Amino acid sequence: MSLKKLLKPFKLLSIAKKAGVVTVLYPYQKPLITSEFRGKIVIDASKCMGCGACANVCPPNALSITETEESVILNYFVGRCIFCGMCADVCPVGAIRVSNEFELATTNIDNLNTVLVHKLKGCVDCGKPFITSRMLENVLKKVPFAEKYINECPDCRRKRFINIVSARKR
Amino acid sequence: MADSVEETKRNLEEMVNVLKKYADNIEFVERVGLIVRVKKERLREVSRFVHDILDSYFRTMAAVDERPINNTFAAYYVFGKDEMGLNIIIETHTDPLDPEIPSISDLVPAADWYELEAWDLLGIKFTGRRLYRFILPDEWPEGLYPLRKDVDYNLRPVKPLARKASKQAPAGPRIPFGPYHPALHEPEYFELFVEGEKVVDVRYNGFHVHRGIEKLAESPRFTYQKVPFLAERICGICGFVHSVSYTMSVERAAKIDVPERAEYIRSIILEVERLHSHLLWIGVACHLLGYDAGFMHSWRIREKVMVLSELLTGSRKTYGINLVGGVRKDINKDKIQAIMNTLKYIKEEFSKLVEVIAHVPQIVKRATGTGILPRDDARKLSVVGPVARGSGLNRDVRKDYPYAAYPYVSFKVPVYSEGDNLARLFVRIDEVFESINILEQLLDKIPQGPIFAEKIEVPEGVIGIGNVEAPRGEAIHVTITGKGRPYRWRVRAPTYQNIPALKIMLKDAPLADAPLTIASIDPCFSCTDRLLVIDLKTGKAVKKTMEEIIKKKKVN
Amino acid sequence: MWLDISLTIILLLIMLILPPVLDGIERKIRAKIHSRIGPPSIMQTWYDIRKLFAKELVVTDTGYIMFFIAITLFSMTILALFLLPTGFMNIFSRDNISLLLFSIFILAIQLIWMLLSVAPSNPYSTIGVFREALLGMVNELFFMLGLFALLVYVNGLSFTHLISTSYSITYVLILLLLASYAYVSSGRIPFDIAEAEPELASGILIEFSGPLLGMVLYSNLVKRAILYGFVANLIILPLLGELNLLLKILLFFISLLIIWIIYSVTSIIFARTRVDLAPKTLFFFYLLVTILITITWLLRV
Repeated sequence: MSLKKLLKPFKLLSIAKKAGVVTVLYPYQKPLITSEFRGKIVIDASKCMGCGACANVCPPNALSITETEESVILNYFVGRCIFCGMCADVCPVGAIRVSNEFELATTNIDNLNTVLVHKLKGCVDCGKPFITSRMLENVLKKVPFAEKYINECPDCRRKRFINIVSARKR
Repeated sequence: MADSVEETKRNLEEMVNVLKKYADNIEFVERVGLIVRVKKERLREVSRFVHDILDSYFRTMAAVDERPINNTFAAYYVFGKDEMGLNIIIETHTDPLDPEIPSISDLVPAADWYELEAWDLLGIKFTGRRLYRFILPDEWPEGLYPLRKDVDYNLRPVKPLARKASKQAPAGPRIPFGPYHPALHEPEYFELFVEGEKVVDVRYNGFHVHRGIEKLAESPRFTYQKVPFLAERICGICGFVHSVSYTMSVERAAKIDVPERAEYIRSIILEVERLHSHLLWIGVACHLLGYDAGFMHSWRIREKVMVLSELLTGSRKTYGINLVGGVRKDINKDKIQAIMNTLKYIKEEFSKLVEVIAHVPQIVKRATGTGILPRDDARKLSVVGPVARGSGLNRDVRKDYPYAAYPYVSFKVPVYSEGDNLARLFVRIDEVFESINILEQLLDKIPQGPIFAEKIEVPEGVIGIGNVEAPRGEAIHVTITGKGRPYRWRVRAPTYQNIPALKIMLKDAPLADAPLTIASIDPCFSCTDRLLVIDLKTGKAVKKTMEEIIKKKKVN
Repeated sequence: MWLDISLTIILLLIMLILPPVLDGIERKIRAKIHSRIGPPSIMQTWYDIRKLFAKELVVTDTGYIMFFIAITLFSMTILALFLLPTGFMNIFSRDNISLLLFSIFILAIQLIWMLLSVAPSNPYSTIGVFREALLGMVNELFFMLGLFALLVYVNGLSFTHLISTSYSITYVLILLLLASYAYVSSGRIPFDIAEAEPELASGILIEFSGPLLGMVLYSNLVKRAILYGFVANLIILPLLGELNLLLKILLFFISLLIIWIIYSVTSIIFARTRVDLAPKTLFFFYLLVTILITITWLLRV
């Protein structure tokens, strides 16, 4: 009995034999990733309209929107990304896809940034750039009625509205 | 059964009657607990009554800068009456200019750290005890209290002061354990004072990785739905626990009804997390005892759990599927099958491995009778989790304060009374099997339906308490809601409650046992190093809600 | 004569190259038992040592003393290696006090190991030495008793006397005692308490780095080979008789490999013991064996 107990630790050998070798020769052999794995996100430049919903919801601010005079810049810095995929959930046009890429180490920091520049379209009245052309298309697709005012910037729209109202008052 | 319902009800009434003597007002808030508002002069009497006479555990304390709201500093002491599943929150306010609250750390030893933390971060003076710098680094300027609302979240003190010389040490050889040490996987510093190989004194010097997460969550760049991702990063091992605790505290404060399916999914992921954490710990314990074969095989089994969590959530750790109001990812038939297969594998392999580990003579010898935490000390320090259960205290949040889908499953809480490292090892081994049992029941019962609440509206200025039984013990979050984000978010990780017990465990023990004993509380230092509660709208009559609590207990 | 000398040199060279290779084999076996792939080849230990020698030498306050002691340790180890027969009685082991000399060298090596660890005044290594000494008190005491029994049993002070010895229960018990000694002093789990990694952060090895660490680690492996080779000799020498010389040598290396593997598997299967348990357990075990030796001796079986 006590000898049997003493020999119990040697049972490990049979466990090990049954389990076999479970490690892999990474990176020569690829590690197993399940179908659900969330890695780096990929932004489809042909779909993105620069609305900024993703930047708004991103917990670590890996996605950020910068607005300049003539353009909207969407920047994805993978160094901050926590791979939660919230951006893909909220993107209204499905431009963001969560890939299973995870080997992101690089010697050049620029490789960590993905920059997307959207040129802004000018207002028909004052010429001030205010909307990305894809956003405009999208709004029209969803609200065809918007055709009547969508080419004007919010300022001009407001002005026109005030003008109409004041004209009516008169 | 009816008797005990009646009895509990009577007990609660009695309790309220006695408390009325001390309190300015008492109010029962559904899903939160009994809020007792007292003047600070009476705090000690009430605390003594609640802690000693009512025999409730100290759970957490949240100090809040409420100057923008009512021009006071407030402190919320959360006590828990485990048998009734009732939180007793003692709320007290103090003057904004010279905040002073009488210390209760002599009556409630577990409150020691909380008072030091409130002093460091909010500048509330606790009278009748020694206060010293505890959390903030030595270089931090005096008189700058980072958690006060008038301090910016991204403030960096301009001129760091020179590091002070280390405090006067007791004579005799000193063995440094940390900040970097092979036995500790996180930066933490224990100074062991030894005589030969005997440890005569221990000094803990922690909070090297305090990251001010609580302050960050109050900052404008966070919203209610972003904080879960932050909360998940409190801990690398039991992150989901914190994210669920946080969402639970907000949901309870805002009275959001989370769909049952979401609750089930949360419970499933929580149990999967427990499995991986316990397997990890058992591996580490083996490694500390020089039994690397046990370490490797324990982690081989754990790897299956990691792959499973990736399949269920999309990530091996920091799952990122939890939000206030529900979860983001549903599970389907295939995944349920995958869980079943993994569970079968774990059950089989783990029971074989445990049989071997439990027969390695050195492991049994070295774990038996070492790192003893007597029951009385455990009670006094209100320790949580396997540390409490190894010392004969039957505490488990899943049973005592039911949440998520735990009321719908039946399971045992393993309790050992020896209080040594072996007892804590066995508690964890038993819990692995118990977790598998819980998971099987959950998968069997999981209902159909939505996984996200329809309406999420969070009122301002409400207090909510979320508690989850993490693998290492109870994690408890107290949230006071604010505009768009928490006004105050108080995190208390299990290790925070357990580290003070180490002093008792290590004293007079051989040095060789120190790593195992330190590891036996399954310390998670990063969780400990981070950093509460509030005003309530009243509610219903105490009587009515009492019945609800009792009902809730009964389901369980 | 020339054959003797050249064989001695060749075998000595083999014994110098072999220990890290044997360690490489051990690492592969350990990996297998751990269910992992392990190092890419059995030469990995040699690569590690080569890497350490390529690093810069860091000389600390006590560095010169440490360097001096490490050199002494190394040369002492090589000297002991000279005396060890490898299935073939080389020119040194033929000496008529070779066995005695060999034992003295082994004890000296143990002593220098301790000295090496006292040199840096690091609290971890100090505790490591304390543990080593505590264990050594029991271990070396019974080594001397066992050795004494062996010398009396073979009736001589040289390795050559082992050839004419015959097996008996007493001899097997003496063998058991010395084999256990070899196991314990080679610093294997459960008796590696002096360099216990999680407790003492490598204990006695903590202050070494670069070439110095390489030398100390290499000496340690050679020491293992010597101890196990000693056990191998005790086992095979009485059995060999008039076998072919090459066969004898082959047999020695095979038994060395087998002993190494048995010891390494044993160390994988068990966990590290505690400093207060180890000497106690060992003491009672050794005492039992010694008493048995005495009894069988008196009964002449």
